[in-house]
Amino acid sequence: MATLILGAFAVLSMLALILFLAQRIKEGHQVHVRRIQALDNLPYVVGGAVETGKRIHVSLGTGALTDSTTATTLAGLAALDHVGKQACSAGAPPLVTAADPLVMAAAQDSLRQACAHSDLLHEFDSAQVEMVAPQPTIYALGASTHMRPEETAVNVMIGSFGPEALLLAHPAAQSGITQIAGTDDPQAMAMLFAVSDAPLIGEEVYAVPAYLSRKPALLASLQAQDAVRFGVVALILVAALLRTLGVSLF
Amino acid sequence: MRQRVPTVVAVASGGATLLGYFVGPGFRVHLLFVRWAAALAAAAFVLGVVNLLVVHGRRIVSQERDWPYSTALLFSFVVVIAVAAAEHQGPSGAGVTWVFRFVLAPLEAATASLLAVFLVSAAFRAMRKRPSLPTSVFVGTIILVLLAALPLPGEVAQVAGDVRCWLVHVFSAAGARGMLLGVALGTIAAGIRVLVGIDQPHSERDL
Repeated sequence: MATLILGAFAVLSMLALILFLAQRIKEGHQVHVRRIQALDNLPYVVGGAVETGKRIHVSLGTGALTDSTTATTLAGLAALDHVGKQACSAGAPPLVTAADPLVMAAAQDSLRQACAHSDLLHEFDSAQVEMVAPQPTIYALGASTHMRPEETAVNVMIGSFGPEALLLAHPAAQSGITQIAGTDDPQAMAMLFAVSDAPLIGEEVYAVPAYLSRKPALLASLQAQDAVRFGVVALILVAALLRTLGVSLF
Repeated sequence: MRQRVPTVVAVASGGATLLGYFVGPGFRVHLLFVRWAAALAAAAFVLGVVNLLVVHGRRIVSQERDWPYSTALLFSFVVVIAVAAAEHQGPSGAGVTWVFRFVLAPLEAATASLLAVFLVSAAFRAMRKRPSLPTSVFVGTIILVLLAALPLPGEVAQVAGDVRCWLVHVFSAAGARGMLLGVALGTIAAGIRVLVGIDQPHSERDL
């Protein structure tokens, strides 16, 4: 029962904090967001790919929209909104791969809206979004067949991946394809750090929606995450200090 | 209206599902929503299969590069479906289990075993392409951990083992915990955003 009350308290506190910070931002308070190199580079690499006439590949990972990977998958979809809008406005919709059918459907919707936004709905082809395979290894191998330097210029990998991400990212790195990658799994993060031109480190992946859209509510959510993180870190440090001094709290 | 209806439905059903975890066993609406969600996710697989058939069918028809692989994929797809249909036992039938156990699993395992080689190769490429302090620390750590796994003589093996243990249990574990803390907070924040309708992945968005 205590755990449930604590859980409800945590959710409600976070909600209150997000709403409070969103209100402050709407009233004109400035928000300082740390610069994220990978996301700053995104418009330039997409623009560069469009100019070369080569394809942009967006991988949404092996996550789903119905489990604990939802947040990371939503970050990937936010990146797709941004990349799709920019690429569709130049008449070159990206190729998207997913491992989950619901994510595939959401990606098709995102791409359709991006094309419609540029009055280029006729450019939209639902087959531009491929559901490769639900198994992570098979997905990575299947998506890696698109990593040919003569066809693809940019590989954006934002979503939930395991270590198998390297099976997709390594051929791309070998082919000299520019890569921007971010995920939630520490092992996959290490793999992607080695092969990405601009990796998203740690929870930077959750900053994608706010960083790219700059909407007040999303910026507030980012601020709330940071505030709670500082609080939790402070609690951990205090608890460690007390424990070192021989004081046991629990 | 077109934007509001899906948002209201999503917020209401999400709120009811969340509430179900905090109130007593008398409140069972959330179980119904969870069952619906599972049924929808299963139905979505049909969409996935149609997408797979369209993508690879087009590749074969237009004779794109690698079209023979698409033919092999569709052939395998038909064979596995036919075996499952003939057995009337779905994915738990002996034939389908055989395919998974003796074809898919060994292939996956063999491919996964390449990861260590790919990682070392990728680390050295990163060092050449993007030399920086974090990359140097990354590559240095990989070398140390791999060296410690070698059958080194006597005292050296002891020291290398201790260093490896220290790296894995102190730095690596602390870093991973820090990242997981960020992941947990990110997940909570994203969940709340969807629940209160700030994030609307289900509606027409203002891109």
